[in-house]
Amino acid sequence: MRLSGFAIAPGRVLGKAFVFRRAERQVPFRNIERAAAPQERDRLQTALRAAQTELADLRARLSREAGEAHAYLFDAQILMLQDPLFAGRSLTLIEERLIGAEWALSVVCDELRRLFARASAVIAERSHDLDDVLDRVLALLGGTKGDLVLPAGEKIVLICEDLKPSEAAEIDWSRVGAFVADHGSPTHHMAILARSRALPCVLGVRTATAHVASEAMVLVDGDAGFVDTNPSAETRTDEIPRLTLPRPAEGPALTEDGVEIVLRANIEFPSDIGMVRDAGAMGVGLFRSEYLLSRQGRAPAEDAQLELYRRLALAVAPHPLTVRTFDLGPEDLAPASPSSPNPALGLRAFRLLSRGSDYFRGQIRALLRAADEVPIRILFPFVGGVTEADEILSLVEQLEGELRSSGRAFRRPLLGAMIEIPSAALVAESLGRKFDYLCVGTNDLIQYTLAVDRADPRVGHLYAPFHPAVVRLLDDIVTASRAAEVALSVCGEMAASREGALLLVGLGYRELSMAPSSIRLVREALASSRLVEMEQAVSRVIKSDSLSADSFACALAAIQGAR
Amino acid sequence: MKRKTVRVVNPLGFHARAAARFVAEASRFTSQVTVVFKDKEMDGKSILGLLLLAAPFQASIQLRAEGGDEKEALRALAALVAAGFGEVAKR
Repeated sequence: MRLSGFAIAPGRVLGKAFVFRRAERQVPFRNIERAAAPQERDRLQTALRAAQTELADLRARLSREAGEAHAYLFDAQILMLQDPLFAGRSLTLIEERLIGAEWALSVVCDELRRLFARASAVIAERSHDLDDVLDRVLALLGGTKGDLVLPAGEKIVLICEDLKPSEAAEIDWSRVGAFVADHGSPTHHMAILARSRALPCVLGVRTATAHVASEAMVLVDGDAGFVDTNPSAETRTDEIPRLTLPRPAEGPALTEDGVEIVLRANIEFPSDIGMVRDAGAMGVGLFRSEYLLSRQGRAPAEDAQLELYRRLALAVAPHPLTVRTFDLGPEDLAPASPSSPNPALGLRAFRLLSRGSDYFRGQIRALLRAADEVPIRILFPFVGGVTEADEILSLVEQLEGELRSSGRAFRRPLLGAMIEIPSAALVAESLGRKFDYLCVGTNDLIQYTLAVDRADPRVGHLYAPFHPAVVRLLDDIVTASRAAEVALSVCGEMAASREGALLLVGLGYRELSMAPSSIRLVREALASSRLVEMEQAVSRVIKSDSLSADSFACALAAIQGAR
Repeated sequence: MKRKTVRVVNPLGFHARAAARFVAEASRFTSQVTVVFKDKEMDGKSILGLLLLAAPFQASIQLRAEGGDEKEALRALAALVAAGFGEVAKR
């Protein structure tokens, strides 16, 4: 059958379909006691703040991958989260009607959707953004998220009804070979996305999701604007390219003058593990294990964790799987517990050790046991200084004692401290003598050093990875790690940009961990620069008070131009 | 209170990107900012409010600012709208 639509982006491909169907939104209704209203408002406010942080991260990723021009969709959504008509009104409704946060949000969204529909056709389209924001906040309040995990193996033809901006940002587009949607038109954000990624694309097909099943072979013609659901019968397929994944480069990245730089991947979900190998990463430099906390109020079972860590580590062996222990907040321990007034500076991670010891003990025990069989590294987040370091290390020893006396096999893996609080950066040498490695988390280190919340659009422009203070701190950490003779790595978005990676290597970092989708870019950037040039460029700008990504790039270009 | 009437010159009108830019700019000032179009009056720091105005291409809208930096706020916001939110090609 031939299904027609708008020809959005050119190219003809034959490939296996992956049909994305979004889960139905479920909004739980609850009445609450008057006394519980402040707590319910806190709960909503925490979710709204977390949603802003998520969106700021997605925005950064999209602007890196598809260009700044598309990132504005997230600005609009971030502003909606702070809008009195959305956030303010929902918070008021909780108190006025004594209803749960989820229901209050959905009442407000229903009202706004009606108003939008009346305003104009152009504006009515913005209901998508509103729904997107609503789904995100509902998920953070404890609901379920849609599943957009693409199957491993060959590239696929992505077929969906439509794709919200946040969904689009969560997809690993390197696995998508063509893109088809029931809705959409040439000006839709899906069209912009497909063109910017040069993906053959047909939109407005109306019945694609109804007629195509996952795994079926389909032909997408982005020139003529159609999809064939049974291609061999209707078209000569022998001259059409089949989707295959190009083999990624493997092993460490090399600078032009042959210095090895280890590139690892940051992942969030077990389903990301396929991307690690596909991207040519040397294992996982950061597995954010918080997804295991999605069942609020209950620590995940130790044996289930052991099984998960073993499976993930085997998938990337002989390279290591680095697991960051839970970076949790009080709301993870008990859904109703009020969040800190300022979560970034509040009770986080090991600061909750006395209250959440089940969480940490179970996780560390599982990791110690997994390390007996597979290459694992443990990374402790949010270490502020030597006191916390001692606390953590004595907990590890205590758990090893427990495992030993219960006769369970275990092994101590490499233990690392995350350097993301300025205090930790300033005592990095002392920390380096206690741990096996240090890992700089640039996102938080920048935020805390500059006192800038990048999710806040009013100050987000002040979030500057190349701020002289940040770069000098990064430089000091290298000096400290050399004095302590301890391994050093970076995970954080800074490592994922061209200038960021070149600066870090110039400063002396030799191991970078980043989103799998950025590995190719960084590998290429490194291959066309010499170490000595990066070091020279760093020494030229590091004392400069007007240091920026641009000034570093210019210094490097000037040095390279003089070859 | 200061007020100024300006025309929307970008072809898509007061849509999401434009509204997001407007709110970001308005939020730099402490003054209360109001945008009026036809019979609707909305908070200039609320993106949903601005979207609901649904002011199209060529619409004439009134900007109001009230507060310590009302003059600067009005000047900056009027300039932003007149420049088509940076979306109209310069000639």
